[in-house]
Amino acid sequence: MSEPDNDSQTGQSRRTILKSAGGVATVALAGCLGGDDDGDSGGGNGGENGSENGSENGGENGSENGTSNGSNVLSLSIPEAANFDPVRIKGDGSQIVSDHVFSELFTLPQGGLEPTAQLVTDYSVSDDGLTYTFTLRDDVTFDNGDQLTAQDFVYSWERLAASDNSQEGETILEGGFQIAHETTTETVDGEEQEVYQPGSLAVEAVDEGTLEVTLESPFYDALFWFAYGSLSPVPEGVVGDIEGYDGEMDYAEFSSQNPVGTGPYEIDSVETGTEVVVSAVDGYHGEAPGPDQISMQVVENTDAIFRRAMNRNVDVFQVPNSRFDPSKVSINETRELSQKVGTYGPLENDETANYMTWDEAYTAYFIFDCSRVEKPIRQALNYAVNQENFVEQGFRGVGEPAYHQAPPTVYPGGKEAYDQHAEENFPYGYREAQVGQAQTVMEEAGYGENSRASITLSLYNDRNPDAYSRIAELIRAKAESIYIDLEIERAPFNTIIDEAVSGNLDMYTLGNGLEYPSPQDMLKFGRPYEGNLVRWREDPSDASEQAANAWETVQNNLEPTDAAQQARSEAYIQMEEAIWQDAIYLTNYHPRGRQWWYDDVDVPVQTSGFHDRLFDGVSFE
Amino acid sequence: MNRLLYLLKRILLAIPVLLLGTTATFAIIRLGPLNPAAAIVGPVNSAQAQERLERIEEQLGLNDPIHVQYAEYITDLFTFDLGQSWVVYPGQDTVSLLAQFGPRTIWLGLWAVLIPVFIGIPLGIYAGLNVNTNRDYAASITGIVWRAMPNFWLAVILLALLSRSDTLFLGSGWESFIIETEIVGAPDLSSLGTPEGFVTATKQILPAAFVLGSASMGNELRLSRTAVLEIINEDFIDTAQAVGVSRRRLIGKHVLRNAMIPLIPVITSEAYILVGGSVLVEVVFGINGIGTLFFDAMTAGDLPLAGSLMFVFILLTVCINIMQDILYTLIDPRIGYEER
Amino acid sequence: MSDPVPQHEPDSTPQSRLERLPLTPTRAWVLVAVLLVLPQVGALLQFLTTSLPVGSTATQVTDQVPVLLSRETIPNQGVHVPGEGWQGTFLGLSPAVVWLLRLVLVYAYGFLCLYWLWRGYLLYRARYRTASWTPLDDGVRRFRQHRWGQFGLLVVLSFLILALFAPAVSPTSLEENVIDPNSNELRYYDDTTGQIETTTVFAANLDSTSQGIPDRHIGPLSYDKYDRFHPFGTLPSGQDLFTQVALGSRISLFIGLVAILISSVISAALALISAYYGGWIDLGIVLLSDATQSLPQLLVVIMLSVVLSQTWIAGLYNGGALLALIFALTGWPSLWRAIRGPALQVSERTWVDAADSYGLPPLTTMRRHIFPYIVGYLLVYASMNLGGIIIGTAGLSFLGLGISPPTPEWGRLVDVGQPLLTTESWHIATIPGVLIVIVVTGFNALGDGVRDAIDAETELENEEETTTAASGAGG
Repeated sequence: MSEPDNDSQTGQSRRTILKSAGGVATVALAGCLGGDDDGDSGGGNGGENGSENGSENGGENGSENGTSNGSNVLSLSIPEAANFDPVRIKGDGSQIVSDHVFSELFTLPQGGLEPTAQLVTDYSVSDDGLTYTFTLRDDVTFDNGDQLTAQDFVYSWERLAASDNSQEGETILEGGFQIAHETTTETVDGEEQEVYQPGSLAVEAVDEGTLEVTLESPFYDALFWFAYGSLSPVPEGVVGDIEGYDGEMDYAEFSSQNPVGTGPYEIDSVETGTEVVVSAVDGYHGEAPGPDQISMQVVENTDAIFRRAMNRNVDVFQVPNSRFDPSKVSINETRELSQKVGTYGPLENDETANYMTWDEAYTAYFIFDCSRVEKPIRQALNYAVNQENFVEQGFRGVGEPAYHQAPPTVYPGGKEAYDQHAEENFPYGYREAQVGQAQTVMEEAGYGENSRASITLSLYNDRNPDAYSRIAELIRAKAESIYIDLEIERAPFNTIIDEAVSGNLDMYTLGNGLEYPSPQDMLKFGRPYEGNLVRWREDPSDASEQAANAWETVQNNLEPTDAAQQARSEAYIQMEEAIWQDAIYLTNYHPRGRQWWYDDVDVPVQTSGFHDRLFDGVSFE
Repeated sequence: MNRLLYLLKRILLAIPVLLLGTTATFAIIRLGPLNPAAAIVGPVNSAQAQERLERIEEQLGLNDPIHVQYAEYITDLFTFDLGQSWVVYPGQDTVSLLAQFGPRTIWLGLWAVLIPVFIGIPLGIYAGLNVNTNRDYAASITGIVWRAMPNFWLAVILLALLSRSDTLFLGSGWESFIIETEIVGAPDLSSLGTPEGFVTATKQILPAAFVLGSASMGNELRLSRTAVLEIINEDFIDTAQAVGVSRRRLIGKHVLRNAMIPLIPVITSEAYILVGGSVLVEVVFGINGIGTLFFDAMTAGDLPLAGSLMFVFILLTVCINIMQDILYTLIDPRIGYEER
Repeated sequence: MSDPVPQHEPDSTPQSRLERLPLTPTRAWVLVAVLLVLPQVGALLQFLTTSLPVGSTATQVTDQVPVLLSRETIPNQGVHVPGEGWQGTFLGLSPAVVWLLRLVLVYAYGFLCLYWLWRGYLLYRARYRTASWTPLDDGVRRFRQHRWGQFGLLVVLSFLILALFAPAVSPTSLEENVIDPNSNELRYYDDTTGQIETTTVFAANLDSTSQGIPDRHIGPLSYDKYDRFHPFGTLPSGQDLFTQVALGSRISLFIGLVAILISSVISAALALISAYYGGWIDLGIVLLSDATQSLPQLLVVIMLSVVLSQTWIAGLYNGGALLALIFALTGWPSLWRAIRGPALQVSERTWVDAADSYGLPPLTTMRRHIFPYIVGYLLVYASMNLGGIIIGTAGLSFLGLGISPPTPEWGRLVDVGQPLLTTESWHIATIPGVLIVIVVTGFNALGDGVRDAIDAETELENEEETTTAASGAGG
């Protein structure tokens, strides 16, 4: 993420021409609702844990038609349910609950990536692209009956920035999208740090229904951030974790028992770690949701999820990886954003179910610490593997082999351009392994049968490490034949992160779900800068300079204009190629989300990983 | 030494045990590579990750000198201030988490003790009364194999069998046998009072309890068989038989009662093994109990949660130990206070 | 001891030169020893060099020594050309038959060696031992009538042979199949081209996976597309399950034995000390043991293996040494409790007092007069605990902790196969699980047998202790 480019707030010539929501002249818009793919979403967090696990474990949701409780009860299985506070980093299950209970200023429409108004009637942007003025809808109430006002946003975003409970503050304080604010110097552990100065956020309630936000610098994808889950409003003063508020309830109660938001559902009951029941809000301001009640059971066991589906007490479900048979899929329709719809069957119970798959907008990769693993080894490993094997063996062919950091949906020019560029330019063998080349590179660097290199590959310590174990095993076997002793090590997730930050790991799994549909969200990591986990700065080269320069170009072209976009796109490709040249990553794959359902229900097609994982559109036949 | 004094001594001795145990827990978590702050920060590949890590460490007090942290931890525990979870259920009180997760594990443990008692002991007595017959061998070998089965494997196999049990259980399959339940998942304990709620919750827990109790079942089978054999060979049985006490009465009154005596402490000590053993079974059967909670807390480095759970475990096992000793002395006064 | 092998008399047709030598039973016994060792010298050396950290050069040297019972001498990998039969296998037999033949030969050889050891003991007893009777003879006599104990012994010995001869009984080697498949090549008959083709084992493995769907399934006792025979089928990665099971027995055995050894030493030392000194020292040890036991063992093992997984100890023997240490450190109290009673009893006997008053140093008294009495108990409980440790190790691997790949471990095999249990590929989780049950039962039975042999009058208390010991790890 970039350092703040400037602190000045000059040139605020304000224009209040109201434009209809979504009609603003921005390009390549897409949503960033902290979608299910990066459950523990947050500024560039790798939801490796989230998404990969999700798909591996047979996914975060199956759902079931609760026939016993009357008609419109949908029941889902979620992998966990812990903390639903919008400002917390959440797991997949908590994210689904949160998505139903909270809503944001903007949202992504079914089938598209252009943000549309959700809690606003109108908004305007100042000429300099810095100041956004929102006119709020006047018919929106919180689950507790309070009317939504601009002051609620001031409170909610101050919480996001200043609360001790907040883990997502960087979404508005750091990176390309920044709300103007001041910082103060604080000494932490003997070091001086710039931290947010409480109360300095440039968010203002002009009146009850008008909200004004000033950005640090213009940003082309700002509307996506206003649709991002962490920026959901909560009633002013609901918890007392920032200055000036005592809190109406305990933090623990708000975050885990009784979150209050403006979404289509409200919490009915929570049994920690077991079950969350939400029910449709009476007189919801938007379109009335399909299911009257959604009951979410915490289930982790893949076999259980599958069994429920096969017994047909489930209508919407996921087939765990271990049961997935690619030969049973037939795709009838492919939509604009590469959503695919078709059928899957026959299942074990002789039924044929509907099937859909969508792009998760996620890139999984193995990251090298360049200060510990030298370039020939990184390149040789890149030569030696074939990404197709990863997808085939780890995920039974569901997903795309990854070559770029930017997933196909957001790659400049889309999937076709992605494939073409990779095929023509990927230096380490597109859809093939080049073991001979790998050996040559290693031999030139002075390695051989009697002077082998040795590195450690660290994996998260999942309970069911199926897919990643297999992929790691593929890499290890390949490494063995190119003079690299690759040791596979498993450790709890937090240990890996801790060790990675401290610079004690050679190579480890990571992945990033995008929050807004721009390669920038991935490529912000792919350049030499202080604190980068790749530690590219410590192994400088022409390529690292190229990446740094290209990033500079991106930073200088953040305006919402076509020319700026063109400049950015070119810079992105330069960065991708610089990353290839120095082989700072070993790319893995781009996962795809999947969902199955029987004919009894009608399930809207999930558009992309950027979209909320909402089940309010499910209708019963 | 009279009983009261003995009890007092046991309780006094329990204190250093508790101290040692909790200290070990602290050392294991805090001196190892686990970092709760990193778990909270998440996999952030950004420049600010390190700064945030430091801020959270500061917030959690992880930068204080280790002895200060230790003193705080121990004082909190021994004043029963169990604190709040950091990572797994952030912001929630450990006590309330215990209250929410505990009952499920207790329910599981209860049945895991009851099933072996009601299956293992009768089978053992049956085997003992028919010693060296094929029936005896069949029962004994079953017991031994039960004991040798790893819980996690038995759980996995049982799960697979139950989910394929369409033709068993009166042709209905396990799921719809007697009452509709799912094979995997936590039992609903909210309506234990009603007959239906009780049956549902019991049926839901039975497979898991069966697995968890499998080793105990084997143990109890063996022990009750031996106990019956020993007592049958005692003189007073011969005498009783000589004076014409009927066989049924003999078995019912003398053999069973006397055979039970050495079994009671075995059962209590098994209750104590179950406390720690439930994690594997909970993982497989999807019961969100204390075992799963502990496992998650442990791997995430959630010190307050893991430490408090450990504290409660130790407290529980120490209590069971004391209870067992007391029971022992009550039932069988021949056993000296010093011996055990 | 049952006689699983037919009577084997020393070779009765010696060479003419040998005829002049009087063939005493002892000489015959030694001669057989040489005959038995010869064919396996290479394997013996290989086993030593691979299981001991002596460096790769030694391994390479020992690899050169020919071994009679090995894949090289009796190869089971070949090419099946339709109409022509098998090429490259032993005598042109099918790989399945060759593999079975080798398995039978290895076990025959193993039991022959054991029988030879037994004859050696009898010989020693009859000819060389000065005492005409020792308490051990009674024990042996009792054990020879203990069918259940013999069953245990048979299982344990089979397990030992499997561990010892793992490379020889496996259809392929770990090196070729798992460690470095990309450098090893494979010839096979390709149906589409009608030619004998060459590919890497890596590629062949990717095409021989067992993942629970018809396209990806190689079950037990079947061939894959590359003419390779898989006695137990393949893993989801396409690796051979039998090879991993066979080699996995080594690590289970290693962990079990090392853990038991360490905890036996600790508990024996502490038992001797507390029995000899008693009083406050005894109380201190009671406290220590209570504190250790009050921590639920499985949970502590989980904690320790998570915490120590980043340290250098975890690198030893792919985590095996660490596990052994953890099980030893958490397992000693149960052993100690079991032998403390007997040690206390014997320390009150007159001969200990006599030794004391005679002025023997405490250490000598302990070693000479108390230790022999408790060593039998130690054996029994160690055998019982071993089963618990094997289960515990497997349980940890099942949770994703413990032994790291590519070292094979039974628990991890169960873990890998678990999601596929109700699919076609059920074999992956089932076979290693059944083997664990059999082996643990074997160790328990052996423990029973030894206990009954040592101590005809079984005390209930002992039984109670052993019972809990056997299932102590709770895995």
